[in-house]
Amino acid sequence: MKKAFVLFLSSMVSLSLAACGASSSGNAPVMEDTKTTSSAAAADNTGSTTSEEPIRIGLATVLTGERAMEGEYASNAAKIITEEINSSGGILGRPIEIVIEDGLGTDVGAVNAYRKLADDSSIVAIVGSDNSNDNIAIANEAKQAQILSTAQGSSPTLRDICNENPWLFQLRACEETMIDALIGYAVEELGYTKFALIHDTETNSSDQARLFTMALEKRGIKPLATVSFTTGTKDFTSHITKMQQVQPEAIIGACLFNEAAIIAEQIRAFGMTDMPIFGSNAWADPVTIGLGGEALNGVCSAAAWVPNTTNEKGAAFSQKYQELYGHECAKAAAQIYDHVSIICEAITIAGNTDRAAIRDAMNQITDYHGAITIYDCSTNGDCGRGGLVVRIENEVAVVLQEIYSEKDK
Amino acid sequence: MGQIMQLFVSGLSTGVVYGLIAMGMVLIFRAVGVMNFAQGEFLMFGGYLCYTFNQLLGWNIMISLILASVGMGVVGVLFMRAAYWPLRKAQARAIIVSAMGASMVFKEGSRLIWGSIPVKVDRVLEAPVKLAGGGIIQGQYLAIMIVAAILMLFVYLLLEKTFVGHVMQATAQDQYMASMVGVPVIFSIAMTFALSAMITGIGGGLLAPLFFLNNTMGATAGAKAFAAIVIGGFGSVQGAVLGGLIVGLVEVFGGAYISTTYQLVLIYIVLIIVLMVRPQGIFSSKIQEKA
Repeated sequence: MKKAFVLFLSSMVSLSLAACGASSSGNAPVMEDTKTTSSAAAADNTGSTTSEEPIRIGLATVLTGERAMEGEYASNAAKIITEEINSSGGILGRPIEIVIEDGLGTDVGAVNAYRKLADDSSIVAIVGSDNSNDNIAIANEAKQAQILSTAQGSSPTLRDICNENPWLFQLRACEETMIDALIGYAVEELGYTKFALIHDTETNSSDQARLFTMALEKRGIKPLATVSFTTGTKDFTSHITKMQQVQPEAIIGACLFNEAAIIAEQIRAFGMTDMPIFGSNAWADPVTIGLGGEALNGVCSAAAWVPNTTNEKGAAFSQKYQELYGHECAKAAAQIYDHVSIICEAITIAGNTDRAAIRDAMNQITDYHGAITIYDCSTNGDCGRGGLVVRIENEVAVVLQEIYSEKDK
Repeated sequence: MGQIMQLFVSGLSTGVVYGLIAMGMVLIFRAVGVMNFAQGEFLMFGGYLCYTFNQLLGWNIMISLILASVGMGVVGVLFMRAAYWPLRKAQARAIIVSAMGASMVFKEGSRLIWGSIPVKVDRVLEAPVKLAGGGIIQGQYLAIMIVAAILMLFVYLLLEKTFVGHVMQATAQDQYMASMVGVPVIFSIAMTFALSAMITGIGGGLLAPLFFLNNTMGATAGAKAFAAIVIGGFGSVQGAVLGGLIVGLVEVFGGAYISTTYQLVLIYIVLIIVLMVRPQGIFSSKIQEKA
């Protein structure tokens, strides 16, 4: 039995080595650091001249399971921001260290990862995962642990929860603003009035579909057809057939990366080669474009982030990421860059690493220019003030408009 | 008419995919009497091997598919030796747990090797094909149907018309008796695992351009293939293929005429009806008849 296991494992290792060697010249990104708890982000890249104890910031992301891609981007971004801050002298004269925990991509996992970080008294703040549900799940934990926590999710529900929770900040433009801007562009600038809507039934996509419908209704338009599907659906013949029957001028899509690429490919394969598509933020993600290729050309999206962003700080980060990791930087990485930067700004304002002082300092940040957008943390929800309306041309997301809105206070 | 034709063709082409995975599962079930809960991961791993040859090494897709299939044959034998053979005398539940553990090893191992960002491979056939009766079929789906038909014929001929196939069938029916008459049981079972992994692995490579590759790719397809086996009849290769086609057609027609949201529910409703009317499935296997 032992021999068999050794044989099996050694073949896996051989394959691993072969693939790693090959991928260095290919497109496949390979995550180098897969530790569940990793201080490597700092240890490898401190670049610091000081021997002070590091300031430790927690990062609850997803390293394993279906959403592991998020953790790969997050870990890479964590290394970049750690190196940048530490090489420029650190914060309060101390280096920073990012401690990563795996939330497994589930609500329960997110809470467990968060608790582990919050229970560590040396950690001064925690960056939550890129999922509104996970962020909502940890809201009460943040209140109990009394530690500054940032949420990457963009749902309006999360915004309302953050506004009532002094310890949780939504460092993202609320989806409502983004989708309204996209529908405004589709209706008011392009003149479309007949839409069919297709969406995933998972919580975030359903929420986006609701916001798309609201934005249309605000302009006196009702979708001609709304079809939904469960995550993991691969064949969209029946969905596309239903949408074709109502003869829409444009299709709206609210779903995640894989499904967005498959839907776009199948819409084009069914002969709707010029059908305009307006998609949720995942549609313009580099991962989606990489999968869907030319089928995504012509798709418009309200994206928090695209690699060729018009934001100067973002462009620099995007370039650095591409140079270091050999693939385009996605939103999941840019968000970590901004979240850690803002937390460091709050620590600087606080002048110490007391958890309550950092939380109080956070509300004093009202005009922070990040890699994605400008942040106003005077209230806890909807701190990101905008994003980008983009159109995919020649398999590249091109910025059409910058979205910016003043915060309702 | 054109719309019905379109739905029929789509249902058939996705059904063939489920049938292919189901066929791989049935081969192992027949050989060892336990469902392989890592079969979906064979699909994923085969897809990644194909990706390695096609995208990372830049080789032709057909060559990549063949090499991936050969590679999966080796993986199948290693899987049998590590996850099944040491537990062959244990209760079935131990083998099931072992397979589930191996499934995790495959998933997370793939993530470590190829990363977590979804990837794809080249298509065998690029352009969509217009059908005479109306409707369009994606070129890749057509390729899948052709390859699946060839594989099904190959498996049939292998099992029914060759000495090796008879050895595999004899082992599937009664391992003890087979060993008594000099059949090398370990060789026979290893052959079955290899064949199953090769078939499913090719499926992974063919599906990769359509469904894209990530380390959880096998889960959904595996669940539908399992439904296909139950509908078709446990242990029956023909049943697995027919079950796959039924699942594909129910999924597409149910989605178009009943609910797109509850496509999966519709499949399981059909499954329950089949279990109520014909609990052994549409085809019943020789093994079940004996029992």
